[in-house]
Amino acid sequence: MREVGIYIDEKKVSVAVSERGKFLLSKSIVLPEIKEGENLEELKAIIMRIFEETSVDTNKVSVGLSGKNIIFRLLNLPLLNRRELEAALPLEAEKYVPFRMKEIVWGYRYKKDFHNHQIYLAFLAERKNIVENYIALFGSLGVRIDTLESGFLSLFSFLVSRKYIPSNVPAAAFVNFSSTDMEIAIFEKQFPYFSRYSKLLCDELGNVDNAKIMDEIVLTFDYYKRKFHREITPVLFIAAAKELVDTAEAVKNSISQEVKIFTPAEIMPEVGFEDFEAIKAFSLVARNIPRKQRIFLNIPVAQEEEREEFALSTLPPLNPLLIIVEVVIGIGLLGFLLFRYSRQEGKAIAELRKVTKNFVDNYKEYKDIPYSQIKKSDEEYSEKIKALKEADSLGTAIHKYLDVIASALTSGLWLQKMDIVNSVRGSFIVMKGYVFLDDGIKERKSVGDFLLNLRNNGFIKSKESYVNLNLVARGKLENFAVTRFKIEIRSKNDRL
Amino acid sequence: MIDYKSRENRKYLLFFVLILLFAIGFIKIKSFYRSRIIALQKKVDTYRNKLVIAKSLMKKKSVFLRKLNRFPLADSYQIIEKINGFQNKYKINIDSIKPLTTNYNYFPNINKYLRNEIDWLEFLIIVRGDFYSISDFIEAIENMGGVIQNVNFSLRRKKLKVEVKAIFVVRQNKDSTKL
Repeated sequence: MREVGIYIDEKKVSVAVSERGKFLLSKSIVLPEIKEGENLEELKAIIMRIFEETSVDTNKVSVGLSGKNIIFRLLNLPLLNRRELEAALPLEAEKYVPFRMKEIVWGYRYKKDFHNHQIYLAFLAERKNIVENYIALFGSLGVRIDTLESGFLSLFSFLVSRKYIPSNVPAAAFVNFSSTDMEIAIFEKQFPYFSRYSKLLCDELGNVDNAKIMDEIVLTFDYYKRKFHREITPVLFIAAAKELVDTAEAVKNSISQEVKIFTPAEIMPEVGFEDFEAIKAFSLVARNIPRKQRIFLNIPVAQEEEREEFALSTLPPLNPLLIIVEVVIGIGLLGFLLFRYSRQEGKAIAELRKVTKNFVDNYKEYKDIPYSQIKKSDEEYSEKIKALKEADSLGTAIHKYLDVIASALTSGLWLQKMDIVNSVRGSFIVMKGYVFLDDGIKERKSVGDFLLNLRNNGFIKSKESYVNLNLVARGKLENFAVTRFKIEIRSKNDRL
Repeated sequence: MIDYKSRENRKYLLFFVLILLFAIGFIKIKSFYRSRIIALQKKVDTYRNKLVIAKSLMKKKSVFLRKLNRFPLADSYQIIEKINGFQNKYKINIDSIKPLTTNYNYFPNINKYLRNEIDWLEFLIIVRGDFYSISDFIEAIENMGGVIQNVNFSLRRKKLKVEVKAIFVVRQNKDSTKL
């Protein structure tokens, strides 16, 4: 994603383009003699030209302003929380600024001093009409201003983030000489305590007056020490335009402390910056500057109208602690869930192992046979056992019937034929025989006695067999008159 | 469209995204473990059921073997020898002992399940003698395990001739100690 930074001051417009935070290209164009915020048509034409030349196609830009119209104040407030601070700030700031709060756009950064129970607040403001002019200018180009900040402060943060200025210096004074003006600021651990813009002081011949610059720097140091009760002298870092390196050297020689001078060429030598304005433009879109080290000016509502419509954009501030608490609770719950489930899983695995071991130990041969097959086999064996029982109970008791028949015989009666049948169609004994007593009545009585003897026999009764007389008739046998009979014993059960 | 550029809104967004991520995390962990635990429990249940059924099968097998071994081994010669031995004991004349082709339809249930374990040997025995001796002879056959299918007594020239059809249930001539 391409990002475009534009730094505008009295003399120059610089544009830098970065892609995912990496430098892509930059371009600076010197402005003709115009006043900032005026003659905007000219400025618009130049910006359009730069956009065309660098083939920039974007709908938002980060804008850096020169310190000329920027007001910097260090406010001292009692210890407040953020919400209270936001409410109190406009009232408090109005005392320090020569404009009404309505007439300015502003931004701030603060540092809590718990020891003295106060807040240092670096307050930055720019006249609203100037900013609105820029918004209109960029709006007419179809571009929205994404962020708005001081180019000078942004440059310092950039140099710190790229380690040109060590971040562990307790107090650093940073001076930027551009062709016609100078800006100076004092930082303690990247927090600005003082910032000032001034025209470069020149003597009658138009040469830069080094002595006056020295005085200005020394005065600033004195002010800082006195105001904040500091004893150490800040380390001085000078970012000097090419033509003012001599002045910087002069300052270095005449001051009895550590001084480091940067020229544009020394900053990212692989890029070959020609002026600090281009570096400032790039610093607006360079990625690795911590956001909390920057002071963004509020962009007026004119541009932001659209955003206001959405409730979310006016949500009350969310305490970061809430997010931390959420993360802790979330991780805790996830951990608890993991612990619980892994325990349950462990139990299930242990149970499975136990059951499997028991199975393998005792019934190894069935291990790989599926359940349904074993069940089928089990049912088959039940049937087999049943069938075996049936086979075992097939035994017959024919001899007992024979004994019964022999004991039941009556006088003059003999059996000529006897069939005993055990079959699926039925089980029965059929007896055919004769009686000869030379008296028909007696003979029939003898048959009747035989029948009764059979019926009354205990064994036949216990078997619940039926004894039927099928035939009694007179007949002849070898010229003797005899009585023929046919008696049937039918088993109630299947087998005799 | 919601403006996510504002710092506050970004914080809210982060807040909700975190809640969403945790919720997804919960659901994922829960569903992952649940399916695993259910699968494991199913496996345990299967093994338990298998264990019960295998136990029952083993028991039934041993009962079956014990019952099966009560039946004599299939050996026609031995049976005929035994029946012949009754001739002197009961003072009868055995005219003939004739093995018959077994009709398996006698006992359909037994044939269905024990086709591979059990056999039938059927004989037609023709004897002569007096009624009481023949009655004893039949008792002896029944005690041997014979199942009497048919007995025909007929009196010819004052002599009793009896045809006995008997079946012997036997175990097939193979190693039945293992199934």
